[in-house]
Formats: sequence, C-alpha cells, structure tokens
Amino acid sequence: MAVVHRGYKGMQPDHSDLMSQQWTGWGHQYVEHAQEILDSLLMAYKVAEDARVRIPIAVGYDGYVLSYTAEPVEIPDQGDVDKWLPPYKPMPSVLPDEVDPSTFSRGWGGGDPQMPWKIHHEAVLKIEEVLKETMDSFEKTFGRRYGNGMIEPYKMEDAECAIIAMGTIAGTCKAAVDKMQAEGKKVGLIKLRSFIPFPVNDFQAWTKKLDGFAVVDRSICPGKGGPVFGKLRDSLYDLEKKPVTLQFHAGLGGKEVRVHDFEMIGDKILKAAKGGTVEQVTWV
Amino acid sequence: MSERITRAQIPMSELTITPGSACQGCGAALAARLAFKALGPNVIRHGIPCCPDSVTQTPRVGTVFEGGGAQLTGTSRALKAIGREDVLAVGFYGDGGTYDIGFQGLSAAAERNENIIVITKDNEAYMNTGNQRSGATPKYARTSTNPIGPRSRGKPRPKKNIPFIFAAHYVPYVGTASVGFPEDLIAKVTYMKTIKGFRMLIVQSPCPVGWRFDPAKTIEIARASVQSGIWPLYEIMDGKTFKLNYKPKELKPVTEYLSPQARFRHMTEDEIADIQETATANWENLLKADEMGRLTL
Repeated sequence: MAVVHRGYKGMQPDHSDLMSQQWTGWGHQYVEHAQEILDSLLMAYKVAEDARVRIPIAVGYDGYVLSYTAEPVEIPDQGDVDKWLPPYKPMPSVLPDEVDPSTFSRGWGGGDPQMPWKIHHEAVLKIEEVLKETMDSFEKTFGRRYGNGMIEPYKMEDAECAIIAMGTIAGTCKAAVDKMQAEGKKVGLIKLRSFIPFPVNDFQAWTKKLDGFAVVDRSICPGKGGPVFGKLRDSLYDLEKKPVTLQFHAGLGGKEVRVHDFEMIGDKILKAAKGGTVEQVTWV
Repeated sequence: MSERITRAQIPMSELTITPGSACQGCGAALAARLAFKALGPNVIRHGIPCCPDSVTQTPRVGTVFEGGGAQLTGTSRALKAIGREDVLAVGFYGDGGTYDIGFQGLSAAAERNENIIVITKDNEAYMNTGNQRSGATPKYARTSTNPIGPRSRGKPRPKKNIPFIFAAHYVPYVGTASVGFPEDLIAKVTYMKTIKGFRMLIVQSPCPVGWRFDPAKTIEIARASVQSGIWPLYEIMDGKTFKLNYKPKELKPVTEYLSPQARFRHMTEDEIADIQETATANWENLLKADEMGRLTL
C-alpha cells in the first residue's frame, strides 16, 4: 500500500503518519523520489505475496513534496511486469468450500494464544531476505537498483562516518555529501529504505568500517525519542566496537531541510567521531 | 421486500457449532442461530469486538472495532476480483460496532453501496465489557455509565434511529427484526440473499444480564418490545419504499415491556408516560408511511 505521510501537527510532511503505525504488523519502507515509489511498489507486491512472507507492505513517501509535485518517471512495460509478477494465489484458501472445517472455532497456534504473534513476527523478519532477492531480480529485469533493498549506501567507499536518513531529505543529503567529499570530508549517506524490518545485519556489518553514525529522524515519539536512532542503537548494543551515534531531528512539521543543514550534520559527526564534544541530540 | 414464511419453512440446518461464551438466555446467540440458518454455509463471517455469542461453520475473519465497514468492503471486492460473488460477505456486529464506533466505516460502505450484508445484534449497550451505554441504549435505561441517583435518571437521550439513518443512504435494503419473531427474521435474511448492494438488518437481541431480567424470558421481552411499538418490524428499500411487517390491531402498553426489566425499574410514572407517548407517536407515523407504501427521507 502506498502511504503518503504527512505530520500530525499540521498538514506539512514529516514521517509521523506512518511512524505512528509501527504496530500494524506490516513491513514499512520509505522512499526518496517518484521513480523509487513506482519501483518499490512493484517490488513490494512481489515480496508481500512471496510464500515465505505473506505480509502487507507499506511504501511511505513524503506528502506534498512527492504527492503534490511531478517528476519524470520511466514506466516499465506492462507485459514485462506481468511476467515478473505473476497473479497471487492465496494459501491457505479462505473460501467456504475450500477451507478446512477443523479450523472453525480454532485460531492459529494450536491453542497457544502467543503463537500467532510469534508466527507474525518471524514472517515480517523474513522480508529482509526476500526483499534482497527481489531487488536483484528487479535489477536484472528492469535495470534499476536501490542498494540492497534494505539500505542504499551513497559514496560510502572511503567514508569514516555515515549520515542515516529516509525519504526525500536523503536526496538533499546526497547533494551535501557530494559537496563535503569534494572538500575532503569523509562522510557519506546510508539511505534507510526498510524501517520494518530494520536492517540490523547491514548496520552491524557497516560498523566494522565506520566511526560514527548521524541519524536523522523526521519524526519523534514524544517522551521516547526518534525511532530510527533508538532502533539503530539497539542494533549495535551487543557489538564490541560501538561507533559514536548522534541524534538529529530535521524536517518535522514540514520544516525545510537544506544542503547546509546536512553539511552541519556531517561536520558534527566527524567531530564527534574524532573524540570532540558534541551534544547528542540536535534539533535542526 | 421479504415474503412471509411459516414456521414450517424455517430451515432445519444448524450452522452454530458452539455457543461461544453466550450467557443463559442470550438474545444475540439466538439472532446468530436464526440468521445463519437462512444465510447458509457459503459465507465469510466478519466480526469485530462484541459479545462472543457463537461460533458458526463458516470461515471467519475479524478486525478492530472501527474496521467493520472497511473489512467487509475489502472482502466483497476481493471476492468479485476472483470471480466468487456467490460467496456472501456478512458482518455480524453488535450495536457498538454499528451505531457508534463502527458507524463511520459502515456509513461510508453504505454510501458506496458496497455489496455486503450487515446483521446487527442490538443488545442496546456495550455488553461485552460490562454494560456501558451506546448510541443504541434507550432513554431512561440504567447502564454502568448511566447510573441511577439524585442527578441521573439513566440515559438522558433517546436511542439513535439507525435504521432510518442507513435508509437515508438510499441503500437497497434496511430492515428491523426481533429474535421473538423468527419467521420474520428468517424471511428477511432470505430476501437479502436475493439482491445485491448494501443490505442491513438490525435485530433487537434482549440481554438478560444487561437489561436485568429472568433469562427464561428473552422471547417474552422480545415480543413485548415489538407488540408495544417500541421496536417495530419494518423494511425500507432504496430509502423510499416502506413496509410495516407486523401490525397488531392495538399496541400493548409499554409497561409490559418496561416492567420486567430492572434497567427500567427506577422510572417514574411521568417517565413511563414519556416513553408511551413517543412509542405511540412513532407508531402513528409508521402506520401512515405503511399506508402510502413510502417514506420521505
């Protein structure tokens, strides 16, 4: 399902709409531009309908910035898509003449009321494997790719620190990364595509090469903090090497996020990673 | 509209396989038993939070309180997409999920004339959680959230006229029914199966626990409600055509309905007169509409 997210406090875009629905039990993705919306939705159907998953997937994108503007988009051939995405066959059937009558008055889990939650949780975690496969298959068929599906690293080859961002502001960040690297600053972008399930494995692997993560959250759970920041730190908790992590709140309430804002973020994480004193939370 | 049937024509098959967690004398469990006899097994039963009155031999799906209209819409359209419109998408919901929390989604589904059947078992409060008042609770009824005391005389406001509200969406069929009149209920469910579009049947389902009466008297209470004009049995087609299904020569006094229920025990003579006046006036209106065969909505 395509989810155009706006903020709670006013109609301008931020990530609150979809972030507040973390408990729906769906997969949640956030995308950067119109082409990625189209491509992600095609991939989302393939992942959601896979027999190992069978979970709905929400593809979120910024209200107004993407929903109310126009960008040129390459639309793949219908025949090619139909071949790549065959019709869905639901299993097991829920039709009255096909359903197993022994399931009447019985739920999933053979009597254990916790089992449906466990089954559901494991199915959502499976999205990672299927999404990565689907991204490979998408590139092979349609010639486009967005990282490995879970994350999209941008100019991270020689980076010492990474900015983590989702949605359209990741696009702004790319422009800032270009500028900063031209000035010799070793900071790149890891665009986060899949928030649920979270790319724990990918971030744990990147930690080996990085000294700092600047997490930019475009939403906040009042009293709790930014969702991506919290989840990232949770992913790194058991590692021996713990990189510096900084929390940035940017773009909430539709506030404009500029290239120079990301340059400030880049400077701060580089400073913190070298041992400098930097406040942990910054409202951009 | 429905065609009258005799008791002998009531289907023998039972689709209720267990009584769920129904209480003694549960009107809702009886509403389910009767409705599903007429619906048959080729149904996907939809549920939302409410009293667990029964389990039926049908595939079942449930959703959140406010999701009834949305979920029925999804199922109905999916059945159409896979070429299985023979399967009925049926919601068996309580009054909370129809009059209040579920209202928005159902109103939207009605406005779009979704091809669904909604059967509401109306026990006139949120009974599953301990008798909290709903939009379906009648005036002066005592509930856990409308206690009787020096400053409270039970629910101060009248019951929402939900059949008329949904009829004002100009849907193909809205009917009222009672567990005390099984032939009429079954005739109406049978009729709903023969047409498409948004169909709704509100079944008054007396609740011995919440209404506080002897559980052996569920049928008596249900019949008294209809016979005193408090819960008239009628059908409205397309928001225009109107038929009053049960027309006794004389209405029984409302006291026959109110007295056996402890939820009304506190009522003064003036309050009873208020209810009597409303019932009589409403009945006059319905008689006129029945004579003309139409309503003005």
